[in-house]
Amino acid sequence: MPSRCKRVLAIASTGGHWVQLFRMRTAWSGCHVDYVTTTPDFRQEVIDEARARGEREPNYFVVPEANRWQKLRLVKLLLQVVAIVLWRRPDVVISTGAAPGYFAIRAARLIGATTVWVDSIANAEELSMCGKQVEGHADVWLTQWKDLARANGPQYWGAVL
Amino acid sequence: MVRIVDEWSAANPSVDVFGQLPLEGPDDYVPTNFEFVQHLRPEEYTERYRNADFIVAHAGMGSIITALSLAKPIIIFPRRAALREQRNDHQIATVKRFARVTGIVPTFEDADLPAAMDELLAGMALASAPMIGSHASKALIDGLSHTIASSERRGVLNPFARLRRPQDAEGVGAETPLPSQ
Repeated sequence: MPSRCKRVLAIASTGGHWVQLFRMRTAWSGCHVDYVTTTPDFRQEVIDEARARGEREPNYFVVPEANRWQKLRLVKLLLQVVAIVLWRRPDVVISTGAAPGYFAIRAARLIGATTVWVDSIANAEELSMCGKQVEGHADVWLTQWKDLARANGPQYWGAVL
Repeated sequence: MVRIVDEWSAANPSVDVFGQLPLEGPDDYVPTNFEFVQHLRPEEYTERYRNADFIVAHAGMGSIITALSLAKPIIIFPRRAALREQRNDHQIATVKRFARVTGIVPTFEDADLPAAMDELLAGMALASAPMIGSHASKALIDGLSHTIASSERRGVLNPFARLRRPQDAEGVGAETPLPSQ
């Protein structure tokens, strides 16, 4: 029985988080894709690449960046991310972090979506703070370093490099 | 780091140095010996990397991955948590982990940086950096594809309750079972 195309929400902060998320893009090739990040800078590249590959043009949303020292910004970010998740209703939410992705994974529970956290390859000795906090909330919880994988902890499926 | 590069640039006037420096804080050092901008669009960023002989950057994955994918040697210098530049000291861990990757020159202390730049200038240090391609490992991508293809919607779930994962159900090393959905 052919399954319908899945809706994927791929969300990451700008910088290294985004670069790593985008390196995994062939995993959602052919899906309905919504990208969410904290800068408009990558919109054109994302659209150009989809066109070049003959794929459906993804949507692209910009949310504020926020870290744990910026409480008000975090609230603003949370509200925007929840709104996007409820509006776009993805089947799968995948993130490499940081706070935007964490919020999306938590919010995804409201719509019963499958959630995937891929901890940044930058976190080579221990998981990131968000990566630790997402335990018990992400269906798939991954580290990119084999020696950080645990039976009761994040799994290792490979890396973005 | 910027101050050190600025001083090195003054000591090496024949070298064309260009910086992309966000300069977000009032105490951020503003260089006087090389040209810089605060922001680069992605295509400009890539072009600057392409034209460079080597890169000097904090140990951020964006810089490292871009350098490796364009086969440019990169000197990496960690940001410090104590200076509120970073949430933790993971950049030091990054430098240690990537220290032996061809094309990456690790530095840890201020004094390491000018020496590393001198070495790259002299062309001594490196075999050319490897091209790493533009995608994640096949195993990771296949795993994610499978997860996406086999995903099933489950109706509204409580965002404050914790999930039971398959590996918990097998009781592998579990200490206490998580509450079920």
